[in-house]
Amino acid sequence: MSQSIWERMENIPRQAYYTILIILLCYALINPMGLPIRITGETKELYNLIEGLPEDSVVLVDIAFGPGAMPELGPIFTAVMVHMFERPINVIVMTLYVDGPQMYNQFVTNKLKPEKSFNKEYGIDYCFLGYSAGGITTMAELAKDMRFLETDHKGTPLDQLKVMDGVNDYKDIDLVITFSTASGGISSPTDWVLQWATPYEAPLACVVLKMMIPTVSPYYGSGQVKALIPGAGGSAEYELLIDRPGEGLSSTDALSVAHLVVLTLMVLGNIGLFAQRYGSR
Amino acid sequence: MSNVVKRTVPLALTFLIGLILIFEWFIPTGPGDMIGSAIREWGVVIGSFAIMVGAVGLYGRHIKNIQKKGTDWLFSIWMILVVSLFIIVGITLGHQDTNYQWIYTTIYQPLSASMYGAISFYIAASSYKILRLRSKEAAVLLIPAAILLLANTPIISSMWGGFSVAGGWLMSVITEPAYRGIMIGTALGTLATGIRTLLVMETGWLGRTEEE
Repeated sequence: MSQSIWERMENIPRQAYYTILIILLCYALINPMGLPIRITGETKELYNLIEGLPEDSVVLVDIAFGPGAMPELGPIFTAVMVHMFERPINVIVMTLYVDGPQMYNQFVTNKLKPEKSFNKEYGIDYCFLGYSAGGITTMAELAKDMRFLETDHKGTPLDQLKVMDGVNDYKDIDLVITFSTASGGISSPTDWVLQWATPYEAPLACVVLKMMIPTVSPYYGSGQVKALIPGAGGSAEYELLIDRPGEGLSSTDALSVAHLVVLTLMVLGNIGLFAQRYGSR
Repeated sequence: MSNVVKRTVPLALTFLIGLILIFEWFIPTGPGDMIGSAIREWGVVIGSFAIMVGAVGLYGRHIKNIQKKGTDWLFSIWMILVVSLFIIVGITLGHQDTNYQWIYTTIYQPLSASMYGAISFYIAASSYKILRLRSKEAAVLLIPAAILLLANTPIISSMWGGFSVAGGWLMSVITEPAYRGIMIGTALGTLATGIRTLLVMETGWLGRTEEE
């Protein structure tokens, strides 16, 4: 028996909408349409935190994402690093996440090239402490002794890095920014709240996956996290703020398109349901 | 192995180390800080060593699977080959070497990103199938979901800020307190488990002992 149009609307085969979704996503990613976006207050908060840092401030950046989250967190990591490299502040990058060193290589060493693009020198303006095992334990110890890791990722003693001069514990860090997808115990935003923000009132900003926002927002609401932004959407807004359009802006079109497809499906499904319900009455 | 080594020593060490770290936190003193730092450094070293133990365990498990020709044993061969390749190239050339980075960016990275990207399709399917106004209870799920989806669609929120306001209200007034409640509950549970572990009332982490 052939289905009525309402039944069809209620039972669209998943192959059909998967195909539509993939075609539209590919189109949006290959041909960015420049759909309008609005800069939210949350994104401005992180921008203002970095913009408000005085000269020679020290920012501790934690990379806690891998290739899985790279499409979402990669563009915003790039944008925030660009903003910091454009300012006269010192940046210490660290990671407690096994994929962290590769993310650093990919985004900082190969893509941003701070020496060429921003006239920043490794060891003087920024450094990378490399991967350290131990998760939350390492994080707790770093708050008390920033030099307990002893060397950077190349094996250079931290005492020989000018950027580490006077950086001994949490008091010498002006802002901590974590780019995280990590779960508790490794390097999650909650771990930073527990080990740095709550006991020492260290200013902490979290950049997370959009789906992680509800898990971190209670800390944001209570003021323990000074800025909380999602990678999806937040990257495009940040790129606009620093006036450097990049991958974030082009992927935002894809985000808009994907959401519109989901909304359309929801509407169609419900129209089909109601039409059949009232039709049968 | 005697029960003293398997049970009494680990329990005594746990009690002692837990006590030292609690005292270091609540009553900060110079020597206490030093001992606390040393214990944390040991923790980091043990954590690093655990990675190696994990790798050995992984090899052991998959070699056994290949020997027995167990479930998906061909995948076990593939896993051992790939892990060995990463380890050999990583140790001999270093993680910054272009060869290592090539393997990482051309094999692991696209696979990992694809797995994550595939979620979007499942989300689309589940939104379509589940978010139907079948009852009043379903409306409680559908309406906030639709508002949050609209609020998080950049093109829509840029055209009308009302959805963002409504989405923000839902997050801060409904989601945040609910999640905070869960967090407080989890924290109390963690605290209770910590106290029980320190007082040797919780011994599950030791695994099964001979007596049992």
